[in-house]
Amino acid sequence: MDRYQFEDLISEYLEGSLSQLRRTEFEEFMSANNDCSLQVESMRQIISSLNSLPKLNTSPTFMSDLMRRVETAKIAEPGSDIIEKKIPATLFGFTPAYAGMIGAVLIAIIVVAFELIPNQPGQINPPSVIAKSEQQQVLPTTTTQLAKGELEAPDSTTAPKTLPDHDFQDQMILVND
Amino acid sequence: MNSPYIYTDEELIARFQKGDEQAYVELVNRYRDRLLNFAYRFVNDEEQAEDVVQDTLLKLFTHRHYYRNIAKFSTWIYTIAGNLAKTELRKRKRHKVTNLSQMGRQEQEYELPATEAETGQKVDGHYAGKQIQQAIQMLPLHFRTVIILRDIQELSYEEISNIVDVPLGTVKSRINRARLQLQKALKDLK
Repeated sequence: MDRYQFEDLISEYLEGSLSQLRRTEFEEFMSANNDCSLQVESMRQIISSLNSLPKLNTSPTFMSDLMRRVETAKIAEPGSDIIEKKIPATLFGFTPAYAGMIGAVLIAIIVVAFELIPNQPGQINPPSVIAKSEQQQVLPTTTTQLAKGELEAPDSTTAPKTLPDHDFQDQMILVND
Repeated sequence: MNSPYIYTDEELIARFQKGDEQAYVELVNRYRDRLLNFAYRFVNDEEQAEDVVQDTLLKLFTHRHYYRNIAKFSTWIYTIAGNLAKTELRKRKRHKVTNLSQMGRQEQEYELPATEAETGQKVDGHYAGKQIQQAIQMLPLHFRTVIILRDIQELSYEEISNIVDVPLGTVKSRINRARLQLQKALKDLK
Protein backbone atom coordinates (compact mmCIF):
# COMPACT_ATOMS: atom_id res chain seq x y z
CA MET A 1 0.00 0.00 0.00
CA ASP A 2 1.27 3.46 -0.85
CA ARG A 3 0.30 6.88 0.52
CA TYR A 4 -2.31 7.54 -2.21
CA GLN A 5 -4.03 4.21 -1.63
CA PHE A 6 -3.94 4.90 2.08
CA GLU A 7 -5.61 8.31 1.67
CA ASP A 8 -8.29 6.82 -0.59
CA LEU A 9 -9.29 4.46 2.18
CA ILE A 10 -9.43 6.84 5.17
CA SER A 11 -13.20 7.46 5.00
CA GLU A 12 -14.00 3.78 4.55
CA TYR A 13 -11.73 2.97 7.49
CA LEU A 14 -13.42 5.54 9.73
CA GLU A 15 -16.88 4.35 8.70
CA GLY A 16 -15.92 0.73 9.31
CA SER A 17 -16.70 -0.43 5.79
CA LEU A 18 -13.28 -1.92 4.95
CA SER A 19 -12.88 -5.66 4.60
CA GLN A 20 -10.87 -7.38 7.34
CA LEU A 21 -7.91 -7.93 5.03
CA ARG A 22 -7.88 -4.34 3.82
CA ARG A 23 -8.32 -3.04 7.36
CA THR A 24 -5.28 -4.95 8.61
CA GLU A 25 -3.25 -3.68 5.67
CA PHE A 26 -4.43 -0.12 6.41
CA GLU A 27 -3.57 -0.33 10.11
CA GLU A 28 -0.13 -1.78 9.38
CA PHE A 29 0.62 1.10 7.05
CA MET A 30 -0.67 3.59 9.60
CA SER A 31 1.44 2.22 12.44
CA ALA A 32 4.53 2.37 10.23
CA ASN A 33 3.89 6.05 9.35
CA ASN A 34 3.27 8.35 12.26
CA ASP A 35 1.90 11.24 10.15
CA CYS A 36 -0.68 8.86 8.67
CA SER A 37 -2.23 8.16 12.05
CA LEU A 38 -2.29 11.93 12.69
CA GLN A 39 -4.07 12.42 9.38
CA VAL A 40 -6.69 9.81 10.24
CA GLU A 41 -7.27 11.41 13.64
CA SER A 42 -7.56 14.86 12.04
CA MET A 43 -10.17 13.59 9.58
CA ARG A 44 -12.13 11.93 12.37
CA GLN A 45 -12.30 15.29 14.16
CA ILE A 46 -13.33 17.16 11.02
CA ILE A 47 -16.24 14.76 10.47
CA SER A 48 -17.24 15.14 14.11
CA SER A 49 -17.09 18.95 13.80
CA LEU A 50 -19.22 18.91 10.67
CA ASN A 51 -21.81 16.77 12.46
CA SER A 52 -21.95 19.14 15.39
CA LEU A 53 -22.19 22.45 13.51
CA PRO A 54 -24.90 24.69 14.98
CA LYS A 55 -28.31 24.16 13.38
CA LEU A 56 -30.19 27.10 11.94
CA ASN A 57 -33.93 27.65 12.14
CA THR A 58 -36.16 29.44 9.66
CA SER A 59 -37.31 32.96 10.54
CA PRO A 60 -40.63 33.48 12.40
CA THR A 61 -42.23 34.94 9.26
CA PHE A 62 -41.14 32.03 7.08
CA MET A 63 -44.44 30.17 7.13
CA SER A 64 -46.64 33.22 6.56
CA ASP A 65 -44.39 34.39 3.69
CA LEU A 66 -44.53 30.96 2.10
CA MET A 67 -48.31 30.69 2.43
CA ARG A 68 -48.71 34.10 0.80
CA ARG A 69 -46.67 32.90 -2.15
CA VAL A 70 -48.63 29.65 -2.26
CA GLU A 71 -51.91 31.61 -2.46
CA THR A 72 -50.52 33.61 -5.38
CA ALA A 73 -49.40 30.41 -7.09
CA LYS A 74 -52.84 28.88 -6.61
CA ILE A 75 -54.44 31.68 -8.65
CA ALA A 76 -51.99 31.09 -11.47
CA GLU A 77 -52.39 27.30 -11.47
CA PRO A 78 -53.76 25.59 -14.62
CA GLY A 79 -57.55 25.68 -14.66
CA SER A 80 -57.74 29.17 -13.27
CA ASP A 81 -59.14 32.07 -15.33
CA ILE A 82 -55.80 33.84 -15.55
CA ILE A 83 -54.11 30.93 -17.28
CA GLU A 84 -57.01 30.29 -19.65
CA LYS A 85 -56.92 33.87 -20.88
CA LYS A 86 -53.21 33.58 -21.64
CA ILE A 87 -53.62 30.54 -23.90
CA PRO A 88 -53.50 31.75 -27.54
CA ALA A 89 -56.35 30.83 -29.96
CA THR A 90 -55.65 27.66 -31.93
CA LEU A 91 -56.97 26.06 -35.11
CA PHE A 92 -57.11 22.23 -34.90
CA GLY A 93 -54.50 22.49 -32.20
CA PHE A 94 -52.18 24.76 -34.22
CA THR A 95 -51.57 28.46 -33.86
CA PRO A 96 -52.98 30.51 -36.78
CA ALA A 97 -49.55 31.04 -38.31
CA TYR A 98 -48.74 27.30 -38.36
CA ALA A 99 -52.25 26.41 -39.58
CA GLY A 100 -51.81 28.86 -42.48
CA MET A 101 -48.44 27.43 -43.41
CA ILE A 102 -49.68 23.84 -43.27
CA GLY A 103 -52.73 24.80 -45.39
CA ALA A 104 -50.53 26.39 -48.07
CA VAL A 105 -48.29 23.30 -48.22
CA LEU A 106 -51.33 21.01 -48.57
CA ILE A 107 -52.76 23.08 -51.45
CA ALA A 108 -49.39 23.02 -53.21
CA ILE A 109 -49.22 19.21 -52.88
CA ILE A 110 -52.76 18.81 -54.31
CA VAL A 111 -52.01 21.06 -57.34
CA VAL A 112 -48.78 19.18 -58.15
CA ALA A 113 -50.50 15.80 -57.75
CA PHE A 114 -53.32 16.91 -60.11
CA GLU A 115 -50.76 17.91 -62.75
CA LEU A 116 -49.11 14.52 -62.63
CA ILE A 117 -52.30 12.42 -63.21
CA PRO A 118 -52.02 10.71 -66.69
CA ASN A 119 -54.67 11.14 -69.47
CA GLN A 120 -57.62 8.78 -69.23
CA PRO A 121 -59.45 7.60 -72.41
CA GLY A 122 -62.58 9.63 -73.05
CA GLN A 123 -61.61 12.07 -70.37
CA ILE A 124 -60.25 15.50 -70.89
CA ASN A 125 -57.22 15.92 -68.77
CA PRO A 126 -56.47 19.42 -67.71
CA PRO A 127 -52.90 19.35 -68.96
CA SER A 128 -50.46 22.10 -68.77
CA VAL A 129 -50.54 24.89 -71.31
CA ILE A 130 -47.38 23.67 -72.99
CA ALA A 131 -48.64 20.15 -73.58
CA LYS A 132 -51.87 21.53 -75.04
CA SER A 133 -50.13 23.80 -77.54
CA GLU A 134 -47.85 20.97 -78.69
CA GLN A 135 -50.85 18.77 -79.50
CA GLN A 136 -52.50 21.60 -81.40
CA GLN A 137 -49.37 22.18 -83.50
CA VAL A 138 -48.76 18.54 -84.48
CA LEU A 139 -52.19 17.04 -85.18
CA PRO A 140 -53.77 19.62 -87.54
CA THR A 141 -50.67 19.72 -89.77
CA THR A 142 -50.67 16.00 -90.49
CA THR A 143 -54.40 15.81 -91.15
CA THR A 144 -54.39 18.75 -93.58
CA GLN A 145 -51.37 17.42 -95.43
CA LEU A 146 -53.06 14.04 -95.86
CA ALA A 147 -56.15 15.73 -97.19
CA LYS A 148 -54.18 17.65 -99.81
CA GLY A 149 -52.10 14.63 -100.82
CA GLU A 150 -48.98 16.54 -100.03
CA LEU A 151 -47.68 13.92 -97.82
CA GLU A 152 -45.03 11.93 -99.63
CA ALA A 153 -43.43 8.66 -99.03
CA PRO A 154 -40.65 8.92 -96.60
CA ASP A 155 -37.31 9.87 -97.97
CA SER A 156 -34.98 6.97 -98.71
CA THR A 157 -32.44 8.49 -96.46
CA THR A 158 -34.87 8.63 -93.64
CA ALA A 159 -36.87 5.51 -94.59
CA PRO A 160 -35.87 2.20 -93.12
CA LYS A 161 -33.35 0.42 -95.28
CA THR A 162 -34.63 -2.58 -97.37
CA LEU A 163 -32.90 -4.82 -100.00
CA PRO A 164 -32.86 -3.23 -103.48
CA ASP A 165 -35.00 -5.71 -105.55
CA HIS A 166 -34.34 -4.06 -108.98
CA ASP A 167 -30.58 -4.58 -108.67
CA PHE A 168 -31.03 -8.30 -108.49
CA GLN A 169 -33.37 -8.26 -111.50
CA ASP A 170 -30.77 -6.40 -113.65
CA GLN A 171 -28.13 -8.89 -112.69
CA MET A 172 -30.38 -11.80 -113.55
CA ILE A 173 -31.06 -10.30 -117.04
CA LEU A 174 -27.33 -10.04 -117.64
CA VAL A 175 -26.82 -13.66 -116.67
CA ASN A 176 -29.62 -14.83 -118.98
CA ASP A 177 -28.13 -12.86 -121.86
CA MET B 1 -39.49 2.01 11.62
CA ASN B 2 -38.63 4.34 14.51
CA SER B 3 -40.12 7.39 12.84
CA PRO B 4 -41.90 9.73 15.24
CA TYR B 5 -44.41 10.55 12.51
CA ILE B 6 -47.75 8.89 11.80
CA TYR B 7 -47.31 9.27 8.05
CA THR B 8 -44.14 8.78 6.05
CA ASP B 9 -43.02 11.54 3.69
CA GLU B 10 -44.16 9.44 0.74
CA GLU B 11 -47.63 8.99 2.23
CA LEU B 12 -47.87 12.72 2.86
CA ILE B 13 -46.93 13.68 -0.67
CA ALA B 14 -49.45 11.12 -1.98
CA ARG B 15 -52.16 12.74 0.16
CA PHE B 16 -51.08 16.17 -1.01
CA GLN B 17 -51.23 15.06 -4.64
CA LYS B 18 -54.85 14.07 -4.00
CA GLY B 19 -55.61 17.56 -2.71
CA ASP B 20 -54.92 17.40 1.05
CA GLU B 21 -53.19 20.73 1.71
CA GLN B 22 -52.66 19.87 5.36
CA ALA B 23 -50.23 17.21 4.17
CA TYR B 24 -48.30 19.96 2.39
CA VAL B 25 -48.06 21.99 5.61
CA GLU B 26 -46.78 18.90 7.42
CA LEU B 27 -44.10 18.34 4.77
CA VAL B 28 -43.05 22.00 5.01
CA ASN B 29 -42.71 21.71 8.78
CA ARG B 30 -40.63 18.57 8.45
CA TYR B 31 -38.22 19.93 5.88
CA ARG B 32 -37.92 23.72 6.27
CA ASP B 33 -35.10 23.67 8.87
CA ARG B 34 -33.27 20.75 7.29
CA LEU B 35 -33.33 22.47 3.92
CA LEU B 36 -32.28 25.77 5.45
CA ASN B 37 -29.17 24.17 6.95
CA PHE B 38 -28.39 22.49 3.64
CA ALA B 39 -28.86 25.70 1.65
CA TYR B 40 -26.97 27.83 4.17
CA ARG B 41 -23.88 25.59 4.07
CA PHE B 42 -24.09 25.84 0.32
CA VAL B 43 -24.59 29.59 -0.27
CA ASN B 44 -23.09 30.88 3.00
CA ASP B 45 -25.78 33.52 3.52
CA GLU B 46 -28.75 33.02 5.83
CA GLU B 47 -31.15 35.30 3.98
CA GLN B 48 -30.35 33.83 0.59
CA ALA B 49 -30.57 30.34 2.07
CA GLU B 50 -34.07 31.11 3.33
CA ASP B 51 -35.03 32.35 -0.15
CA VAL B 52 -33.77 29.06 -1.60
CA VAL B 53 -35.91 27.12 0.91
CA GLN B 54 -38.96 29.27 0.13
CA ASP B 55 -38.49 28.63 -3.60
CA THR B 56 -37.98 24.91 -2.99
CA LEU B 57 -41.15 24.58 -0.93
CA LEU B 58 -43.12 26.68 -3.38
CA LYS B 59 -41.93 24.37 -6.14
CA LEU B 60 -43.10 21.46 -4.04
CA PHE B 61 -46.56 23.04 -4.10
CA THR B 62 -46.68 23.92 -7.80
CA HIS B 63 -44.88 20.80 -9.09
CA ARG B 64 -46.36 18.24 -6.68
CA HIS B 65 -47.58 16.05 -9.55
CA TYR B 66 -44.05 15.70 -10.90
CA TYR B 67 -43.10 13.54 -7.93
CA ARG B 68 -43.31 9.82 -8.71
CA ASN B 69 -43.19 7.28 -5.94
CA ILE B 70 -40.08 5.60 -7.32
CA ALA B 71 -37.66 7.66 -5.26
CA LYS B 72 -37.66 8.79 -1.67
CA PHE B 73 -39.34 12.12 -1.11
CA SER B 74 -36.22 13.45 0.66
CA THR B 75 -34.13 12.67 -2.42
CA TRP B 76 -36.54 14.62 -4.61
CA ILE B 77 -36.75 17.67 -2.36
CA TYR B 78 -32.99 17.83 -1.78
CA THR B 79 -32.43 17.63 -5.54
CA ILE B 80 -34.72 20.64 -6.05
CA ALA B 81 -33.05 22.58 -3.22
CA GLY B 82 -29.56 21.72 -4.50
CA ASN B 83 -30.39 22.91 -8.00
CA LEU B 84 -31.88 26.16 -6.70
CA ALA B 85 -28.88 26.74 -4.44
CA LYS B 86 -26.53 26.28 -7.39
CA THR B 87 -28.61 28.73 -9.43
CA GLU B 88 -28.36 31.22 -6.56
CA LEU B 89 -24.58 30.82 -6.48
CA ARG B 90 -24.32 31.37 -10.23
CA LYS B 91 -26.45 34.53 -9.93
CA ARG B 92 -24.28 35.80 -7.10
CA LYS B 93 -21.10 35.04 -9.03
CA ARG B 94 -22.32 37.18 -11.93
CA HIS B 95 -23.34 39.93 -9.52
CA LYS B 96 -20.00 39.81 -7.71
CA VAL B 97 -18.03 40.11 -10.94
CA THR B 98 -20.05 43.20 -11.86
CA ASN B 99 -19.61 44.75 -8.41
CA LEU B 100 -15.87 44.12 -8.21
CA SER B 101 -15.33 45.59 -11.64
CA GLN B 102 -17.14 48.72 -10.47
CA MET B 103 -15.12 49.02 -7.23
CA GLY B 104 -11.88 50.91 -6.84
CA ARG B 105 -8.82 49.08 -5.54
CA GLN B 106 -9.03 50.75 -2.14
CA GLU B 107 -12.67 49.84 -1.70
CA GLN B 108 -12.19 46.09 -1.99
CA GLU B 109 -12.53 44.25 1.27
CA TYR B 110 -10.69 41.06 2.04
CA GLU B 111 -11.69 38.74 4.83
CA LEU B 112 -8.61 37.63 6.69
CA PRO B 113 -8.44 33.95 7.53
CA ALA B 114 -9.04 32.92 11.11
CA THR B 115 -5.97 32.12 13.14
CA GLU B 116 -7.20 30.28 16.19
CA ALA B 117 -8.52 26.74 15.99
CA GLU B 118 -6.01 24.34 14.49
CA THR B 119 -6.52 21.32 12.34
CA GLY B 120 -6.34 18.26 14.51
CA GLN B 121 -7.95 20.00 17.43
CA LYS B 122 -11.54 19.39 18.38
CA VAL B 123 -13.23 22.46 16.89
CA ASP B 124 -16.45 23.61 18.47
CA GLY B 125 -18.02 26.94 19.32
CA HIS B 126 -18.93 29.80 17.00
CA TYR B 127 -15.45 30.62 15.76
CA ALA B 128 -14.58 27.08 14.78
CA GLY B 129 -17.93 26.78 13.06
CA LYS B 130 -17.15 29.90 11.05
CA GLN B 131 -13.78 28.49 10.09
CA ILE B 132 -15.29 25.24 8.91
CA GLN B 133 -17.93 27.15 6.95
CA GLN B 134 -15.15 29.14 5.30
CA ALA B 135 -13.31 25.93 4.40
CA ILE B 136 -16.51 24.44 2.93
CA GLN B 137 -16.86 27.46 0.66
CA MET B 138 -13.39 26.76 -0.74
CA LEU B 139 -14.47 23.33 -2.01
CA PRO B 140 -15.56 22.84 -5.62
CA LEU B 141 -19.36 22.55 -5.95
CA HIS B 142 -19.44 18.79 -6.58
CA PHE B 143 -17.40 18.19 -3.42
CA ARG B 144 -19.33 20.76 -1.40
CA THR B 145 -22.67 19.13 -2.24
CA VAL B 146 -21.68 15.63 -1.16
CA ILE B 147 -19.90 16.67 2.03
CA ILE B 148 -22.89 18.76 3.18
CA LEU B 149 -25.31 15.93 2.42
CA ARG B 150 -23.17 13.32 4.13
CA ASP B 151 -21.53 15.02 7.12
CA ILE B 152 -24.05 17.77 7.94
CA GLN B 153 -27.37 16.38 6.71
CA GLU B 154 -26.28 12.81 7.53
CA LEU B 155 -27.90 11.21 4.49
CA SER B 156 -26.96 7.71 3.35
CA TYR B 157 -24.61 7.14 0.44
CA GLU B 158 -27.50 5.70 -1.58
CA GLU B 159 -29.61 8.82 -1.06
CA ILE B 160 -26.70 11.08 -2.01
CA SER B 161 -26.06 8.96 -5.08
CA ASN B 162 -29.69 9.52 -6.15
CA ILE B 163 -29.64 13.24 -5.38
CA VAL B 164 -26.46 14.05 -7.27
CA ASP B 165 -27.20 11.38 -9.88
CA VAL B 166 -23.78 9.75 -9.89
CA PRO B 167 -22.83 6.13 -9.09
CA LEU B 168 -22.36 5.05 -5.48
CA GLY B 169 -18.62 4.44 -5.90
CA THR B 170 -18.14 7.95 -7.26
CA VAL B 171 -20.05 9.40 -4.30
CA LYS B 172 -17.81 7.54 -1.83
CA SER B 173 -14.71 8.67 -3.62
CA ARG B 174 -15.93 12.29 -3.81
CA ILE B 175 -16.75 12.35 -0.09
CA ASN B 176 -13.30 11.06 0.82
CA ARG B 177 -11.60 13.55 -1.48
CA ALA B 178 -13.80 16.37 -0.17
CA ARG B 179 -12.76 15.52 3.40
CA LEU B 180 -9.10 15.50 2.38
CA GLN B 181 -9.50 18.90 0.71
CA LEU B 182 -11.33 20.21 3.76
CA GLN B 183 -8.46 19.00 5.90
CA LYS B 184 -6.01 20.84 3.68
CA ALA B 185 -8.17 23.99 3.59
CA LEU B 186 -8.41 24.04 7.38
CA LYS B 187 -4.65 23.62 7.62
CA ASP B 188 -4.19 26.56 5.23
CA LEU B 189 -6.63 28.66 7.24
CA LYS B 190 -4.72 27.93 10.45
